[in-house]
Order: sequence, then C-alpha cells, then structure tokens
Amino acid sequence: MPLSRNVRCYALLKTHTDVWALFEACKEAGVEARIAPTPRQADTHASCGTSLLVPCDTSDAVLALASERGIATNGVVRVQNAIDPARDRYC
Amino acid sequence: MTDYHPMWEELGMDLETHDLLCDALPVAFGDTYLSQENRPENMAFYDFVVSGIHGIRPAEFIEMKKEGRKVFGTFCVFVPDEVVVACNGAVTGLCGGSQFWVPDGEKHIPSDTCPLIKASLGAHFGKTCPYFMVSDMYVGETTCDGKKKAYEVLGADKETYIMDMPQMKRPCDIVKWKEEIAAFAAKVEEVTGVTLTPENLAEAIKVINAKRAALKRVYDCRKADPVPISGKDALLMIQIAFFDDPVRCAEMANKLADELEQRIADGVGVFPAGTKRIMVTGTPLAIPNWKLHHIIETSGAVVVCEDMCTGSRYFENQVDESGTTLDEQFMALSERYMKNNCACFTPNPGRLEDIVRQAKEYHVDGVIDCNLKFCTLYNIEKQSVADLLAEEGIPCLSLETDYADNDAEQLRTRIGAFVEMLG
Repeated sequence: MPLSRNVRCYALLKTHTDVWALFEACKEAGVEARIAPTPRQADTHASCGTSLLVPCDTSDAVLALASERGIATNGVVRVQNAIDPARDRYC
Repeated sequence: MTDYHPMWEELGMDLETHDLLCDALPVAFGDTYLSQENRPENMAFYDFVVSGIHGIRPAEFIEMKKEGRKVFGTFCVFVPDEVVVACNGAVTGLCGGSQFWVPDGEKHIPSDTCPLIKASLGAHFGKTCPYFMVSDMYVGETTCDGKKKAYEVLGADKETYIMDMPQMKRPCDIVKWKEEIAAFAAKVEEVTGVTLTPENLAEAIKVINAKRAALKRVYDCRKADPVPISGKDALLMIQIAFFDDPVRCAEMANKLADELEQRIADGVGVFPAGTKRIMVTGTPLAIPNWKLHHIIETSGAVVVCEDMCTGSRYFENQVDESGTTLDEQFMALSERYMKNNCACFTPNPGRLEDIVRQAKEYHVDGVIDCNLKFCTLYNIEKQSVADLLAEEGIPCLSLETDYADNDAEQLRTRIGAFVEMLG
C-alpha cells in the first residue's frame, strides 16, 4: 500500500522495545508499519529515537492494537513532507 | 521514547552538537530508505538498528563493560575480529561516514585529507559519536598515509594500537601479517585480561566465519534478475554488520537471505527484470554514506554488488578452521585477511581480477568506480580499472565525490547519462 507522499504518520512509543513489540503486533495483524527514526517535527524531544511509520488512515487501528497488547504510546503524529527521495539531503 | 541523553552525557558527549546530527538522520534515512517500495520484510531489523543507532547498540556495549568486557573500536576490515571475540571482547566499527563530522576533523588534520579520515577524527574530537566514546581503545592499521598520520593525532588523545600492514603480498608478507596478528593478540590479552587459547580462538573463528557465510548468502541473492533486494538495503546490512554482535548479525542476515531466496523462487524483485545492473567499486561507504547508491537507484539502475570494504571484501574468503595451535590459527587468519585486495597493496592485480570476476558473477551491465576526494590509492588505480574493463567490454564510469550534498545534481547527471548509455 503506497503511503501518501505529503503527510506521514508516526506512532510514538515509550521505548525502542515497545517499538519492536508494536511492529511485530502490526505484522501479525496485517497492519502496515515500518520502523523509522523519529523526525524532530513529530517529537521535539526526539533525538536519534525510534518510532513506527504507519499509513495515516490506519493510525486508529495501530493505537487500538497497542492498547490491546498493553503497549503504552504517546499517540500518532502527522508530519508534512517527511519523505522526499529527490531532496538529495544526506547526513 | 527511550531518552539516551543521560547515557550520552555519562559518556562525555557534546549533547548540543550531537542533537544536530539526530535532526538530520530521520530526513536522510526517510528519503533514502523509507521511500523504497516492496522492501524485504526482514529489513525491519536494520531499520530498527539505524533508527536507534546511537542509542541501542552503545547501551549494549555499556552493559558489556559493566561485566568487565572490553570494547575495541576499529577502522578497517584487516583487523581480525576473531582475536577480540576469542578474548570475550567486543568489536565495533566507528563513525566516519558523514559530512557532519568533517569540520571537527579539519580542526586537527589538513582539509586536503580524505573525508573518511576527517570524519573519523571529527567524531572522536567533537565527542559526537558514542561508538568512539564507549571504546576502551582504538585499533588502527597502516593502510594509507592519511590514516597512519591521523592515528598519531588520535593516539595522542586515546590509546590507539596500530597494526603494521604489509604493502605487498609475497610469502614473507603473509608471515609478517601473521606476526602482527600475534602481537595484536598479546595486546588484546593484556587489555581484556583473558588468555587466548587454541580453543577460544577456534570458536571465535567459527563465529566470524558463520557471519561471513550469512552475509555472502544475501549477496548471492543479488545475482538474480529481478534482484530481490535493493543495493541500498544490502549496503545498509553490511554497514550495520561492522557494529553488531557477530552472532546476531549472522542470524539476521540468514533470515534476510531466507526471505530473498523465497523471493527469487517466486520471481519477486524490487526493480523490474532487466533493470540495468551496476557494480560499485572504490573507497568504502561508511554509514550513513548512502548518497551514491541512492542516486544510482533513483536514476533507473540497481546496484547489485559492491567491490569494496563495505561490500564483498568484508565477507569473501573464510578462515581455515583446521588449525589446532595458536601459531597455525594466526597463519590461517593471516592467509585469509591477506587475500583482501585493498588498494594499499602494490602491485594489486587481485583487485582487478575481483572486479572482472564479480562483474560476471553478478551479471553487471556497468561498473561505477568511485573514490572519495584525496584518496590517492583508489584514485590512481582508476586508470587500471578503466583499462581492464574496456578490454573486457564492460562499461565503466569513474567518479570522485565526498560527503557533501552539493555535487548530488552533478552526480545525478553523470550517472543518469551512464545508465542511459547502457541501453
């Protein structure tokens, strides 16, 4: 399922182990999710942190899954222009 | 999310400057990696590692150190991990693949030094890389003049053990490297307090051989058309292998290889069958140097092989496991490592043979020979590479770049024209 080009949704979690746990849960449930570094726009406290990149239209399902598995989250945050393969900005 | 600031602060890092790097990583990784479609599912592990690259693995090293284990930071594929692993130590690669660290490096060594060396020194002196900070000591090697002299500067600030790399491949040079390995082993024993025995070295040789075999399985899958994994993803796997625990590295690479082999059986690829296939050769691409691969793979081609230290040189050739004495094992290690065809050797026909062999094995349509600016060794070898490939009828594009973004459009133009020329 192609993700929207202009808006990306990031599920923010408490720890990197929670990120992996929710990623595995999404995989089992057939919900698309990718592990991603957290952009600063998604979390002003983010610093080389890990989050889950999810299609915005499934963010409720992802949060419900987290709740069902007892995984604490800090919600899902929408970020504009998060990914642009033609930007040519490298680290 | 886990806040690693207390850990970084305890390591003595410059938090404010380091946060700037943390700002850049999500953008670069998102644009380069997360923009790809139909990636293998098992790349999730590597995405996870990169996303927490300055937190998760350094935290593991800190836990090891609490148990009394030692961490050895290394710069080069010639340093035999087996010796460290046998003495219950851990090996980590060190930061050096980003423009972010270059300015701090230029405060300590001349600006007309290759960016890999400048970035490495910048990461150390700027205190913006946890892998430098967590290492108990560094292990350098004499593979080029720039590194040799840079290690003097680095060594004045933190213990840096130097392995003296032979410059030729005569039988006496293999013996010389064996003696260097034996001397390094004595140092590792001193630092770790663990005695090296034929038994623990034999076990470590098996561990590292298994890691090499797993990485090779993934590379072998890249020989298929359609190719089941992008060059960017394969590069990421190799880059992370320098930092990861070797047993976990093998496990994850084998999982990825299982998936890729299934993709091949199912005819699944990340690029359409017939996409032009590129081999990249030249100076290593330390993490997070993804520029070249990204430009190639967004210009209508796919990278199917890297003839470089962050590529096939890292896993090709196994160490003979039959030695029963340390002397025999050191010789077996020397024989394996000296098969590595680095441009530091003279003459260096093995590299040319490797390029042609791999061009055939991976069914490449063209070779991109790219060196980092001021890397004299690889720059001089470019003519020999171009001449031989011309003889073999394999198109070759020679490039020079660094870590900065400002030549991206020029590279895109040249690479795009090259791919178009391939037909």
